[in-house]
Amino acid sequence: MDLSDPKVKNSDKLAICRKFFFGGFAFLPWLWLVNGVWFFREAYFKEPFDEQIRIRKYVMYSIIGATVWIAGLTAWNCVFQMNRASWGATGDVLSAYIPVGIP
Amino acid sequence: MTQRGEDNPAGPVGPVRRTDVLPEQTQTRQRNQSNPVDRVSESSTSENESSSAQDTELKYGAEAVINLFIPVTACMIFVIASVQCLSSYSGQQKQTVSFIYTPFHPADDDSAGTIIWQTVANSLIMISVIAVMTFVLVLLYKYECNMLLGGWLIFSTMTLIFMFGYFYLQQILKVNNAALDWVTLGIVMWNFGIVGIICIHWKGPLFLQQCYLIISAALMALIFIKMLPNWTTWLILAFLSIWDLIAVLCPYGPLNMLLQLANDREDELFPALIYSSGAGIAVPTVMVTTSAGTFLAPLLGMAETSDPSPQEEVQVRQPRSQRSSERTRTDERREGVKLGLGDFIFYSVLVGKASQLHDWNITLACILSILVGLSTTLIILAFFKKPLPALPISLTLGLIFYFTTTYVIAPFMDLCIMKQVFL
Repeated sequence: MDLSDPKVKNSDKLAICRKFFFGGFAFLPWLWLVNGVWFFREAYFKEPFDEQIRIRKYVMYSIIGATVWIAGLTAWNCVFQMNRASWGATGDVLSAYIPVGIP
Repeated sequence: MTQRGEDNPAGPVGPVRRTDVLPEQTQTRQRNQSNPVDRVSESSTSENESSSAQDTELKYGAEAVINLFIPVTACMIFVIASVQCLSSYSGQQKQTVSFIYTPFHPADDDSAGTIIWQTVANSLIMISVIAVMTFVLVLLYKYECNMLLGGWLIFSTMTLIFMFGYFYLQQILKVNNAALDWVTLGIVMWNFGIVGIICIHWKGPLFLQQCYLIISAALMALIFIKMLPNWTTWLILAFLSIWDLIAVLCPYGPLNMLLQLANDREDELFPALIYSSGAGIAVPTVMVTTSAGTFLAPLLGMAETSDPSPQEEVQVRQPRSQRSSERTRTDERREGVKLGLGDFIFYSVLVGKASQLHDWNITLACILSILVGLSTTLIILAFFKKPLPALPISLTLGLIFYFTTTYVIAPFMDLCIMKQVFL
């Protein structure tokens, strides 16, 4: 859908932003990121309208949440990739795909 | 005057012109002021109408072509890249698993007769399955079994994105010999799938919805390229273009009936089964669709669409679009052309299968023929303004060029190079 469509009411936008925000709690950082990026222009670069303060809040929290998740995943992946071989059996259990060859 | 002319050639022209023109200008200005509203507005509206009518047709044509070229090309490039890089799709491995709809597997050393009848049998089975499922879809839509329809479609999208996406990711890991843990894999697949379903079936950024539709079409095309036997693929493509022609243009064709039903109900037709280049306004007069999108359904019990329940926005827009005189520029901009997802899939199947030969001449010839076919279809659409099948022209051109290039042009070029005709 196109947010710049004048038929989309501000209350609808707030409702969608809110649903995306609460949906992101189900282990969905990508949804938070999409929410943040999609509503960013509405929240910060448009003429002030009634619901803008709440949209700003949701956008900010979505972006923060997504950043936290990305940091966590990156850290976990660095740890895993570097130490997978030395973890022996645990490393194999954790791996979804085990590469062939000598690590 | 002459001296001025020598110094400044424009000199005499300027003042002379101004003095000549000025009285006329004042005269016209006086005339305009006397009847400013009538004359100017009449001329301007008539000019505007004729030019805007022309502009609308022309602008719609060029913009729509470009708006469809980009996603079709993107899908084809994705499929070609996957076929080239991922060995599982490149046709070199013996295929142990296959569709139940193509039960005959001609081996390479079978006689020509065996290959021919098995290929024809496979294709006929496949096409009849497609036809049956399309009719089932139309019947479900006609008798408003919306829950069943919606559930079936969401189930199929889920299967497509999760299962095939996971398989694709596995291939990438295999080719790169990279490790991935279950945690990251789970989170990545979960996110990718759920956001995809939200974007396709509910609401989401238009760009993301388009990306997800292209990705799912590409994944489906890759599965076809992998699973169908070689000659069966080509024959299926040929039969599909004939079927598409029948289904959309004949009065009792299933897609014709579907479009009529949607038109009568003033309903948005399966937004997730159709790629829309605009903001999702359903303007059936400019829709180019194909049966093949519904064909996804039978294969793995899947199809892609959203619930066909009428939406407020569409009902408001529909009567507006029918009063063309009140069309505003913003409406024109947002009236995208729609292309069925099945079109993306079968264009990519043709191109992907062609690229399995690892010869860029053939691949490029097929890409260009499909794009030329697509633009021809759009030009015809601009004249007839009713939904048209997008498969026939493109696939016919594509098949002609595939076989011609493979068996005539490529050997000819090789021979020319060997004999050094062109240095």
